[in-house]
Amino acid sequence: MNELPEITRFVAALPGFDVLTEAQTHAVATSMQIGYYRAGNDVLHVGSENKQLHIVRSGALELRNSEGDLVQRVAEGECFGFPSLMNHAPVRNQSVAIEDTLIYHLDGSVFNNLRRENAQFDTFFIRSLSDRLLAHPVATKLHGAADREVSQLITRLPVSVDASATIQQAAQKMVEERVSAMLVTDEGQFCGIVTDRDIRQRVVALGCEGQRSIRSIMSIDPVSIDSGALAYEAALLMMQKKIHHLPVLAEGKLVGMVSRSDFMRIETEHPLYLVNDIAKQTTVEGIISACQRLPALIASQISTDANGEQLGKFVTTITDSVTQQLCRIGESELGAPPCAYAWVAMGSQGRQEQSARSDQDNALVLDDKTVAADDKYFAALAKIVNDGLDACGYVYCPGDVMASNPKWRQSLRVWKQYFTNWITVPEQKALMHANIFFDLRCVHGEARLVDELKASIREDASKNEIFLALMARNAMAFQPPLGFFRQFVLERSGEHKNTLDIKLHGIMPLVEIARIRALAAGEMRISTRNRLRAAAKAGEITKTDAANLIDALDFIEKLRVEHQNRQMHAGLKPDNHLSPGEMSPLARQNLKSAFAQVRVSQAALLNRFHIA
Amino acid sequence: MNQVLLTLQRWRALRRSGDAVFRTFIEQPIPAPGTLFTDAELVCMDIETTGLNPKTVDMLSIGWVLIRNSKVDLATAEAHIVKPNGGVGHSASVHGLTDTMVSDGIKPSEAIERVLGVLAGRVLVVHHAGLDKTLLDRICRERYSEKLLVPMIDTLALEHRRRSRHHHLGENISLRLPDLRQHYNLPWYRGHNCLTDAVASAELLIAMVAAREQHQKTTLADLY
Repeated sequence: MNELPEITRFVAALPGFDVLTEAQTHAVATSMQIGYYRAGNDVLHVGSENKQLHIVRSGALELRNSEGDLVQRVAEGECFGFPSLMNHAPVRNQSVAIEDTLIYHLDGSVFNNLRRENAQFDTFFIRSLSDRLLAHPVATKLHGAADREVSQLITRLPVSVDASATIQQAAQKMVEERVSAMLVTDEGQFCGIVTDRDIRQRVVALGCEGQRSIRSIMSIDPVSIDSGALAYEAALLMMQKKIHHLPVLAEGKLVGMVSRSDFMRIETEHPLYLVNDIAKQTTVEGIISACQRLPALIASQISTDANGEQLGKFVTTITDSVTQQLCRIGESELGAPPCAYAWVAMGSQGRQEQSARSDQDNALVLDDKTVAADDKYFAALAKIVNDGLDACGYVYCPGDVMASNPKWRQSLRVWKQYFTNWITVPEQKALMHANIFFDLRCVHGEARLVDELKASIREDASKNEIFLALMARNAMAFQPPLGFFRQFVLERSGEHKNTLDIKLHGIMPLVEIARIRALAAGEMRISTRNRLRAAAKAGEITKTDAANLIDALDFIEKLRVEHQNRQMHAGLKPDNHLSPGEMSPLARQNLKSAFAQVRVSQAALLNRFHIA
Repeated sequence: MNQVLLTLQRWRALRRSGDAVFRTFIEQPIPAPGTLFTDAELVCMDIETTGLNPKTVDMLSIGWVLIRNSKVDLATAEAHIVKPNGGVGHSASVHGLTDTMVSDGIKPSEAIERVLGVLAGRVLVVHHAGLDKTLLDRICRERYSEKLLVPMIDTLALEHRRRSRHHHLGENISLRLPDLRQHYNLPWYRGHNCLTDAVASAELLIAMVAAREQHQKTTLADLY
């Protein structure tokens, strides 16, 4: 009599679980583990492996992404952890209890068995997964699949045949039009569907004559969907009805047909599917070949209505997965690491602001317990990852800021010392380093090492006005030009003659303002927009200034995205060199005000640190 | 109970007892008091009885669940109906077990044998241990001529000690299982089902440990 009435009753009423049979519910209730988490404690860490579905029995949690942004609140009766479980991918969000919380942990194998046994249960979680993907900041507009309307999936006008045609005529038309399914109409009204399979099963296999009417073998009144429905609804419908083709109707009129392969096609455009694919690779060659899809994927994301921030997160998400998987492959080749370590991304990857063209900046932070002999291991690991990244298209850092450089492969203690030196003895070289290294983010391994380093940097930097002042002066090196033709700083010679480096003159000054303001506010946020928001919150800059600068950055990045889109369509390699002629008058005007905003903020920064 | 004394008593009992089941139970050493809570295996137990006097009552049902890695493992949840010597009497109104239901139950001696099986090498956890432990001792003595010699955590006594240390012990403070659970933000469970109560006390214990300062370093000795 191992009945657990309280737990069974709770499970049976859970959304998604309410479709389980009594026996399945009982199996769930008697296989779970119960854990208790005090407010402030973590349940899952970003990047870790998750083997369980987590059901909140009482209390509440927050899911936050690696930048600390709130993704979702989870309360009693809600689940989390299913995306990593269903995609076999590392955990993407940190889950922190915000109240004292009791959690039922359901083993992943039990969960996946239930999905196989019970289609409704499976459907519920597939739907929740799409909802979660949509809620994910990367995916809000950078969609491939789930939130598109079905009508957007239709690639051609519907191919149809009149019901009076013979089987042979219909089959001939299918061959001509190269389709595997065709709609049948009766006086213009849609009345049935006929597929390759129908012809195979209902004609050829039975030895029927080809001269009979198509009407005799078609499926009458097939399932259809409205053109305004969402793509994932179409996918679900096809799954549930076990069909491969779905006619699409707009106000009752046939407008086209979608097939499972249409859905697959856009599904594979979704960044998370590539991430998933990369996470499955066990060899460097496998990752390289998965990355071949990246340029096309970026091109397709650029051509959707993506803005710079979303694109930056999208590209960085994929770089992060490549890095993580290379680290894992390194670990499996070299054995367990001799001590805890963190693989740290710097520069634009650190800020989650990579564009279509990025090289690698990275470093290794080792636990202080490390001994000299460990370096052999980490040198080998760094080589695997750096070489792998290069082979995947993230070319070696020209300044050698990579983990393979012994200088950037050090213990936490040495790293703290580096930063202290840069901050307290700010020579020109130190300031250059600071610009790269202050944008650090843990991509793989022990995040606590990076957190500790950041805490120590914050302590040092926010108190050191001289250092910040020198950084501010340094940030003046590249000023955005004011007028277009007269004062725009155009390259005077070479490959990029008469173009403007929009990254150097537009984006970098903004990134630097944000970095210095955030440091002055004692904030260790890393992405530029988050730095500006945090600085505004701390009162270091006004809310209006922050909003204006973010607008300026949005606009400049949008111009860059459009420019790179044009280049990729023309078969060119994307770069940052914008020619004045390719901008509309309105875009020029907007760019001018964006630049003006940056200049005002640069001036304010000089004032703030009393630099004339 | 003092763990040194317990070890001594177990050693004496081992020399005296000839029963194979009891010897197997005793031969499995008890976990060292310095064992971390998260490394130990604990058995949370609850018993429904015919009344309140441990010298005369009969056991009607017994349920338990294990705590491992600081988690309550529901796969280990187990409960048994026990056939009493006498009738269920008025107690049926409390736990809902009727004479018909318990007539198919296992014998108390069989129940204690299973209890020894699950407790070997583990720690017993009971909320308000007085009645349940005395009853288990009595049945154990009837069957093996020895008390149930096992290390034990009483969640009620533990909370009582904690609160008197922090002077939080007002006159109106209730240490009943449902009230303590509410204090730790645990959900309300319908009581008087031995397995539900066992799970309820198990959840309470992991919550109490999580609430301790430096809870990762909590040892069994901190909880006895």
